Amino acid sequence: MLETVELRKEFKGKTAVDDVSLYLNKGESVGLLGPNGAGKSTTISMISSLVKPTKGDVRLHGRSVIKQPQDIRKVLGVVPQEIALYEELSAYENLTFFGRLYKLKGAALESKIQETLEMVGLRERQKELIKTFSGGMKRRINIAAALLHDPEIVIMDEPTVGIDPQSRTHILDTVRLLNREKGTTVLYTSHYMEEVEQLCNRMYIMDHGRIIASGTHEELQRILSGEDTLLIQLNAPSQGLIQELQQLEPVRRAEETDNGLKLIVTKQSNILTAVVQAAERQRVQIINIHVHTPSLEDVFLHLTGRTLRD
Amino acid sequence: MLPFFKKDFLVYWRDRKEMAIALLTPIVIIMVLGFAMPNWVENPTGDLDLKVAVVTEDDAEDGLERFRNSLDALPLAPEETSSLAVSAERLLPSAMLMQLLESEEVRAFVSAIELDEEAAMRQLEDGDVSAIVTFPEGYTLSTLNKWLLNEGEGMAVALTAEQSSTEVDMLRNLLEGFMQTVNLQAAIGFASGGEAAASNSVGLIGPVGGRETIEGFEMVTSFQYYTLAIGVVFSLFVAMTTALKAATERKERVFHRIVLTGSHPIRYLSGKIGSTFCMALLQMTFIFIVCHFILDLFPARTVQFWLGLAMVALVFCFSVASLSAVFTSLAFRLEEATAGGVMTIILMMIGTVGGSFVPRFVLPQWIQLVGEWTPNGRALSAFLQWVQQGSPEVVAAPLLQLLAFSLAAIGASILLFPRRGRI
Repeated sequence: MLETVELRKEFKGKTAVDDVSLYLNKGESVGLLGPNGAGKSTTISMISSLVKPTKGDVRLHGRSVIKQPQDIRKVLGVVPQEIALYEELSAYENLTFFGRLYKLKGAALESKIQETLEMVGLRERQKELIKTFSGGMKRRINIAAALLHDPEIVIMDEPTVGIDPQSRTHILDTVRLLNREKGTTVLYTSHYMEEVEQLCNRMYIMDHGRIIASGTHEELQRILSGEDTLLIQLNAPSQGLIQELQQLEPVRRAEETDNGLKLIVTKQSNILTAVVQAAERQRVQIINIHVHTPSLEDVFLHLTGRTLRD
Repeated sequence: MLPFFKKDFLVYWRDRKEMAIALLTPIVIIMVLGFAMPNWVENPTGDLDLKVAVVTEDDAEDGLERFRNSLDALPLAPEETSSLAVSAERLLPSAMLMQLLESEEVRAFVSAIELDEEAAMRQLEDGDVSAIVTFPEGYTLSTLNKWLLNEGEGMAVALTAEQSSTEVDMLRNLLEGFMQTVNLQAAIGFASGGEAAASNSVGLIGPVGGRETIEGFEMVTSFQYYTLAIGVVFSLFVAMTTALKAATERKERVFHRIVLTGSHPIRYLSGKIGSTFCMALLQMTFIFIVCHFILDLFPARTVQFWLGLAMVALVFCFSVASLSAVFTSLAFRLEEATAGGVMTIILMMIGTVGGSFVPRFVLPQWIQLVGEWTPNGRALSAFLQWVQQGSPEVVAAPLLQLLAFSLAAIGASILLFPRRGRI
């Protein structure tokens, strides 16, 4: 339905997005993951026709939309990372304004406004000014404004950043409703791995402007299928222990956590004895060791060398 | 355009603090100016007090004697010689100028004292006098030769001042006016073949300061001037406010959301023009009406007068609205702080040269000319001409110029507005 072909964007000689190719099938929910500065927002801006790519193409149903942006704008709903609303207007007035720009009028406009307000759970508060809303409520109206024209594709750029748990749950429910019940195609970017795991069929992982991995949850986890993750709880932090463990052959990665350290090691390796001996040498006490199969967070860490929220 | 207009107007209207500032500040400024400087416009010389030292290097008696002697050498009839000698006695130039300086009108703002050169320079340096008027040696003979015989180039009095000031400029204008009038009268005298008419010159020097009433003209009062000028300049600030709100729309990505609806930037700009027009008109109407009721600004004026005033206001507010489109395009091209700075500089410059902060007559001539080409300068002229003359013919030209400015500004704003992908 929608695809990008070797998209590239350069700003003043610096490459922000480098040969990004991705696709969205009709009715799919696709995640776009990456740390800050990975190039996700620039990619979204190019897909939504706000920024012209330096190179590459964006195709809708196989037709390029670079030169005819109006083709994609008709079918696209974009939820920006910023609260792109008028603070001095009420939720209803904001939706009326954007609805009219989408050429909705009269009863059709009123019906769409009430429908989207119902969807984001703010119908009762529609007459209140946006500036009186909490961050989460603003984000919900931010989503509603992108849904007024019944878009076939919705792009959401980190829609749950900095909001209360209630609003977050509401937003995730809205995305599920859109995708599973209305059949809307969704491209969802987030810092929160668990959101993408819950909502998306497939995902792309971006870093330094490039897509470094893609696939379903299971396909991505298979990247680390030959490895285990050890979470070791210590009585005190120890850089010495981390350095010593990094020298061991089965250890792929060792890093400090809040209460100890995390090791990614080759599956089936007899590492536990070596870990206990190293802890004794470093005079730290092991309180607990937990061995588990790597998560998507671990895959991300393995691929990028940093966590999603770095 | 309607959704944009309604949205922009609501955004303005809901910002109650800014609305209150926009509506009340000009009223306060008009009151303060009006009560602090109540007669500045009606009588600009009223508060002036210029102390002038008069230095006479010339010996007038000797000059007169030498002029009489020179007549004997000329091939003139005895009656002519006698008549010129009498005229010379009556037209002693230094005496005439002193007579002018000591006249009641000029004494209202000039105090002249006669000193020798050394004392005058000392007092000038000490700041006891603001200027020195010097009759140079040979002034009487040279001037009489020019006036009565049309011989030589004449001689000018010298004006010395430590620094330029409004008072010194007025004195310079007064002396130049005196000399030009006397020279003109002398020239007319020669041309008519009769006795030089310079003897009537003192009486022909125009009034200096004070209220001058000309047939068919209404005098503009200070309060009227301040109301019109402040009303005009505060309307300009509405254009800047609109652009700064647009900069916020850009920063918070609301504009991107608008673009994604498929709306053309011209529709967006037209909303800015419409809402700015309404806000500027609302503000100006509020200022005029409130000041009228508080200060009895335009008493006993006809409905036709008010309609004319409204017409000038409508055309000017349209030019402010078009200026807001230019500022909006600038706000989309520059960083928000830079755009704000550029707009402030532009408004301060056109506000000053257009006579919105001080009456234009106190500004140098070239600035007055430049000011005529600013929208606020043109609008202020149109308002003043309408108040003074109430004639549609007189205000037609400035209104057409304002409309031309508006169309040019709208064209410029469209050209300046950044293309896709550059916002």
